Amino acid sequence: MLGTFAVGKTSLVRRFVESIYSGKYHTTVGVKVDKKVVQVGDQETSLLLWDIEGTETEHEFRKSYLRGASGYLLVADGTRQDTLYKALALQTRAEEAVGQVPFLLLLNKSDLADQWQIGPRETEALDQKNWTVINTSAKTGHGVEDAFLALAEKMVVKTNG
Amino acid sequence: MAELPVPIRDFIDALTDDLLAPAFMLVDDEGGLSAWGGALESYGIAGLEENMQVADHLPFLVGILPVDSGGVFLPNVQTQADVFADIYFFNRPQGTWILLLDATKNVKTRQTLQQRAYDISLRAADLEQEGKTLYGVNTMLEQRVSEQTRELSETVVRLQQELAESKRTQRALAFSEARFRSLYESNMIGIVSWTANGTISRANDIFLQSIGYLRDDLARGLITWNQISPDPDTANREASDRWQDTLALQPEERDFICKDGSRTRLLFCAGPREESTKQSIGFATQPRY
Repeated sequence: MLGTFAVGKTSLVRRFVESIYSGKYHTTVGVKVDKKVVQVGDQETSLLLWDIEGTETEHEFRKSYLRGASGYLLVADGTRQDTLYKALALQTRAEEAVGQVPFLLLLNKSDLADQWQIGPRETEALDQKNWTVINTSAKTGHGVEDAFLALAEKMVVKTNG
Repeated sequence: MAELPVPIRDFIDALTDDLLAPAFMLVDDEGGLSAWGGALESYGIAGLEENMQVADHLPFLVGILPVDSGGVFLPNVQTQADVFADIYFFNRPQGTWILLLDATKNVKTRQTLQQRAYDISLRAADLEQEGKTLYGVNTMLEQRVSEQTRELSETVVRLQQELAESKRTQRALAFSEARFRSLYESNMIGIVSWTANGTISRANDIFLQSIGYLRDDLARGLITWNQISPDPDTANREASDRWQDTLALQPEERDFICKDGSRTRLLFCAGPREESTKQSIGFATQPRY
């Protein structure tokens, strides 16, 4: 899980792994590893989820956390436009660390539609990158399961060649 | 490393044991566990067996092994609830050593500071957003005030124009009224006003005299239009219908019934006086033969 601070990485993992949500923000220090087994096609796959601390800038990001990663979820907060640009910068750092592995961009907090700051200009820029982008809400669960399963599928496809 | 006396080394070892709860594992090239020890249980690590594939047992090792010569450092890994470890991986001839040192205290200290810093940062972002919103609202209000001021100014100018026009109209009306009154009172021609229901509201003396009535008869309501205006013949019925539409009668010689029952012929025309009450005003004079 990559993204700047307070975009909802921990909440997304908790929603996916434990089906719970807390509205109170607790900053993550370091990394917490969770595990969940998912079904991808007819194959059972263990996802080891590294919930990595968010940083103010991509330069503070510790690449060793990405060692051996098969894929990643880039997370931005749809109500804070700057988090999207930080996610884009983090993606560059991630690619430097682990090369071209599957990833998805999640625009989280989609339940806060009235505060949404991702406009047509950003959407057009993302379209040009041809990335898979999913709107999610850790609060309501919208898109969360889909996002993790989509990443699992991409990783399985890449692993199976 | 500097030579340190044995007591100092022993003290440092004891301090390390107390503060950092060191624990270790040794893994061979195949990922099999060959040795382990220290305070592993404080990190929630138990049930280890020789030659077991340790990565299967400890999720945070998946993908990390084997490490290259430079080693790997994973700071602040949460191993179980509220226990964090700095984990060092380094290669030696025996295999890959994995050293865990307790980082919980550092994490807690950093967590408190980081939480405060990020909360402030989020609050600042919220305030910035509120500022932008307020600026937008302020700009919108200024525009609305400007538009309404302009509209108000235009309305004032229009009202002033209408007021001036109204004054001109009032002056023209007063002049017209004066001229009419003068004509009415001069008794040069007969003047009569009547409404659709036949009530004669006004008539000057010359008109009343032409049909043999007195002003007192009018005041007492003894005279109505239907009384003095005979039933129209077929030709005049058309004129009567036109009057219903226009409140006007074309100039014509028209018979009127006098008070004594006789008839007198007057040259007569009429026009609208007041649309709302369907009131006409007629002008009569003796025809010249």
